[in-house]
Amino acid sequence: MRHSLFIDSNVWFSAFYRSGTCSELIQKSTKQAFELYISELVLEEVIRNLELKLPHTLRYFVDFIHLQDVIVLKNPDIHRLEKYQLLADKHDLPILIAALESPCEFFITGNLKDFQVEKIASNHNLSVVTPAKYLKILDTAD
Amino acid sequence: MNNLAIKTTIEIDSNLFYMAKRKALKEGKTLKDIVNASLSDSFGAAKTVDLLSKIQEITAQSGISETELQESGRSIRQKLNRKYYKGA
Repeated sequence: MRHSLFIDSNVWFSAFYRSGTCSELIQKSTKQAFELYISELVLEEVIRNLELKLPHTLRYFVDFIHLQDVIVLKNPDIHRLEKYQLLADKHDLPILIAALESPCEFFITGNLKDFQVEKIASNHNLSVVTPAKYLKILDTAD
Repeated sequence: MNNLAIKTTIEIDSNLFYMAKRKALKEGKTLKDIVNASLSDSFGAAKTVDLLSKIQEITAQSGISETELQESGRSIRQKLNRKYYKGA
């Protein structure tokens, strides 16, 4: 099974710490060759945060993105926001739209409270789940 | 990859050999293509795990807490939203 996953920035930040489900998820995604997606906004957020807080990690992160062939989705145009405005908090909406308008099956985030998870699942072909929930889905599928 | 090809002799587990042969036939490729792609995938995966470990090692040494990193990320996201979606 080869899933396509959109990885939100909070999952990347957690994965930079050794223990925990986010690190496990990213490691699994590399070993099982999942298709990983991020958006331009997520990429810029992670890069700026690493520049600010962990500058020595930046080149390893950039190498990781290249080597893993992570697909970077374009930010949606400002006019696309209105159509989806009820689905997420305004700060998360551009990221969600990038995922909704891509072939992604799962949007992995540690922050479910800012997304209308059920509404998204029932009207779109995208499951918004936590890393722990996604790992459970994987275990069940195995 | 534009590297030169090297001819060598190795012993391969018979099950793996037949699986590779079947895959090659199914995909209309040569056995060489399948073996090269599998080795390349295997080393690529190992390299990405190494890169993540390196990031984790530096993060651990930095003493920066996960909460601090997450809060800083949220603040950057808000600034980026203001930059790209001003007036939305």
